[in-house]
This record gives sequence, structure tokens and C-alpha cells, in this order.
Amino acid sequence: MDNLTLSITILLTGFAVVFAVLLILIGIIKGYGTVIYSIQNRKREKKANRNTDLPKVERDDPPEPAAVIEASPDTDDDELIAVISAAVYSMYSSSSVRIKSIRKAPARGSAWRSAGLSDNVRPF
Amino acid sequence: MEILNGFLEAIKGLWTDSGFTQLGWQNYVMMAVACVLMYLAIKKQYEPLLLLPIAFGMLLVNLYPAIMGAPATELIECSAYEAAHQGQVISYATTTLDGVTYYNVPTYGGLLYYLYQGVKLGIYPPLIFLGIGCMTDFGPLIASPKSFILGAAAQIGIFITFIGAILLGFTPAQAGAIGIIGGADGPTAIYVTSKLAPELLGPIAVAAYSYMALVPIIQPPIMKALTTKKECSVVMGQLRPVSKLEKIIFPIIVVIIVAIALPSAAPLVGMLMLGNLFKESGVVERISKTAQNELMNIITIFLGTTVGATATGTVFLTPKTLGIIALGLLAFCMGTACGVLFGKLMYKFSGGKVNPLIGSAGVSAVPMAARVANKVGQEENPGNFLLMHAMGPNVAGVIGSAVAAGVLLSVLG
Repeated sequence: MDNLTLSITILLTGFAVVFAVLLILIGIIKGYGTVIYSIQNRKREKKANRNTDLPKVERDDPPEPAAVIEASPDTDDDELIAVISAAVYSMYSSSSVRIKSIRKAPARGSAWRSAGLSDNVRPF
Repeated sequence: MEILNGFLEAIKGLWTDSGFTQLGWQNYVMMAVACVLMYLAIKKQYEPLLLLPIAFGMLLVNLYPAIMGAPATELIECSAYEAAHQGQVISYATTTLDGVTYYNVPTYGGLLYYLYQGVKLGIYPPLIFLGIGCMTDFGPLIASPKSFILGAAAQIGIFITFIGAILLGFTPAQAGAIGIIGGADGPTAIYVTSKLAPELLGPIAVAAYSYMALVPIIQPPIMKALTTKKECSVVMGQLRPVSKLEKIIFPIIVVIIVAIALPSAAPLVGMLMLGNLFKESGVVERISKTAQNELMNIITIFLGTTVGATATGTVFLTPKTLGIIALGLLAFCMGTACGVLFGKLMYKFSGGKVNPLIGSAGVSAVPMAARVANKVGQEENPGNFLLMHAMGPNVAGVIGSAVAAGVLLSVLG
């Protein structure tokens, strides 16, 4: 096989194989993602339905934070509330959560604890 | 008088063994290159984690080439050896030449020669992938699997560059090793080169890591040239949340599919996915932390230093190196361009919901390429946050370049 033929063969093979493998992965991931997501959503809905009697949960309402803020005066309160709401929403992935108040945690722990915490939450 | 003669002989011997008489001009040029790379790593912080050990390895090998010397056998006259090592039980094989019997005394290789075996035997790059797997969040890719298309598209540069390298007179195996620079994935480039063309390891590693460091300079002009303002300012919808179970299943499925379809990609993809399973399972936190910190750092030192030590003057200072550097740039640009062009296709087919800029992140270079896509998008619309959307193609590019490496190794290996 001369070099030009080999080059075109490699180009076509590489193109076809890379796309084929990744397309198969797309199909499988979409498939199992949809199944798992729907199963977990159903479970979450069932759980939420079971809790409808509880007065604290108002599922139809948008999560309006009735916030009690004790932050430093130079902090942008709206931005802070938005960030905390987003973090809570991302943790629970449900609109049934209501934030009733936001309080600044008292400073505690040592510098070692802070260093460990920042090490664990640092992006790579 | 005898003492003076002995002193002069000793000085003469030291002078003869010193770098002043042993080194050629190429070694001095390479030392200068190494110093420039160290400057870029320290002052400009261009990929310092790898560029610094690579540059220092380059400096060391050009100062003292024997540091990469392979073990050999030295013939020493039996009588002379026995006189020098009285009392030693000698078990060396003997060779007789012209009636004189010699011991075949083994000599040891240089320090970096032994450390280099991890590169030569393809051990270090998969271990680096293990650490990368522990640090990578495939969530954005699982949430939007179509990102795989962009990760695949950006690999086209590898195969187009292969043709360019063949046209420039490189052998098919060398062309494959050069093309993989376009994957923008250092460990993959080193792994493929160590298998296909170990003689080009130095120039290819330096080119790959240099271009990865230059992603913020190389990519934006290509991205801007291929997209319109309207396309750049597309704000993409929020990604769906991904459950822990999905994240745990992902590495298992990927390794099964890739290893069955392309066994030669299994060492890279397998270790990447093992690392990711460590991370996502949450049950082996200690192992995960070790793999992404201590182990990765140790391997990085060995890999960087020994890859740099392959760049001796006689190997590096050839017209071929210039060709490799030019082709590496071409590979990078083609990969970026193909990613963006496929992003434009997705923009069309999705009815304008996909921002084509995220296609450029398909060239791996995690997370730099995703950051660049985010930054270019924010130049058009400061409120547009593309980072998480670009992370999908970015991590898909890591898998895509490993698959492309598997294709090259299968066909050319």
C-alpha cells in the first residue's frame, strides 16, 4: 500500500471508528440516563406526594426565600441569596424546598480545619 | 616529580572526561532551549507542572548524556580485573580475543535510563490517566451526551495531520505519532509516540505540551473566524442534574464499550475510568486522593524529566523537529476548527440552541479549552456562562483522543 492510499485509509478508518464508538456511547448513555432519571424522578415525586400533608412543604409555590440575612454590610444581599438558593437547589434537585432564613454561621474551628475545607472544595 | 606527573595525569583525565571536551555545539544549543523552556514555565507559567521537569531533563541530558545511557557490557582483561578486585568471587562470562581472556563485566545504565522505562513500556501515561480520572467530573457529558460528537469531531485534526506528515516524508508510524499532537492530550501523545516512534518522543512531547499551554492564544482567532456574532452569543439552557448512580455507571459502560471495540485503547481509557470510578463511588476516598495527588505528582516528575531527557542535541536539532512543530500546530488548529464546525452543525440542527464555541473544547486540554470557550463566549455576551457546557466536549475529547490513539496503534502498531 503506498503512502497516499495508507493516509486516506487511516483518515477514513479513524473518522469512522472514533465517531462510531462515541455514537454508541451517546446512545447507551442517553438510554440509561433517561431510565435512571425517570425512575429517580418518579421516586422523588412519590416521596413528595407522601409529604403533602406536612404544612411546611408547599410544592406548587416557587422557592421564595423569606430570608433573614446577617451578612456584612458590603455584601450584595440579592446575589448572596441567589447563590445560596442555587446551591441548595443543586443539592436537593427539587423545587419543594423552601429557604426560610439565611444566617451567618459563627466563626469556629481552627486554621487547619479551614485549610482542609478549602483543599476539599478547590476546583482542579 | 612522580607526584607532579600523577597530579597532571589526574587533571588531564578530569579535563578529558569533562563536558568541555565531551559536549558538542548541539548540546549547548539544547541547554539554551532548556533554559528558555524553564523561563516560560517559571515566569510565564506555561504548563509548569510538566514543562519544568521536561526542561530540566533536557538540560541534564545535554550536560551529561550518560545519564540516559543504557546498561552495557565492558570487556576487562581478567588479570587486570582480578588485581583490582582481590578476593572477589568472579562469576562473569569470559571472552577470548587474540589469546587474551576478558571478563564481560556489566556496567549500569544512567539514572534517567531506568526511570525512562516507565515511558518506554507505556506505564506512566496510563497512571497519569488514573489521576486525571479521579479529578474529572463527567457530569456535564452525561447530562448532554451529544457533546461526544464534538469530542469526536475535534479528533479529525489528528488524521488530517497524519496525511500532512506523510507528505513531508515521515514514515507512517512517525506520522501517526505526530498526528496525535492534535488530540491536545499530553499522556496520550507520549503513550502513542513511545509505541510508534520512540525516536521522536522529545520533539513531540515538547510540541504537545507547548501547544497545550498556548491554547488561549491559538484557539480564539480560529473560533472567531469560524463563527458569527449571533452564534457566539447563544445562551445555552441549564444542564439537567446528574444522579450519583449515573455517574457510577458511566465509567463502567465506557470502559466496556471502548475496550471491546478497540482493545489497544484499553490501557488509557481503562485507567481513566478506573480513576473516575474511584471518585464517583465515594467508597475509596483515600485511594482517590492518593491517585490524584501523590501518585500523579510522582509520575509527573518521572515522566516529565525522562521525556525531556530524550531531547539530546543530535536528536532534537534536525529539520524534522521543525516539521514536527509545524505539523503539531496544524493538528491543533485543525482539531479546533473541526470542533467549531461541528458545533455550527449542531447549532443549525438544534434550531440555534447550541453555541458552536463549545466545539473548540473537544480538543481535550482539560480544563483550559473549556475556559477558552467560556471566555470567548463572554466577549460577546458577558452574562453567558458556557463553562459547564464546554466541559462536556472537553472531557469527551479526552475519551475521543484515547479512542483515536487506539485506532492509530491498531493500524500502525
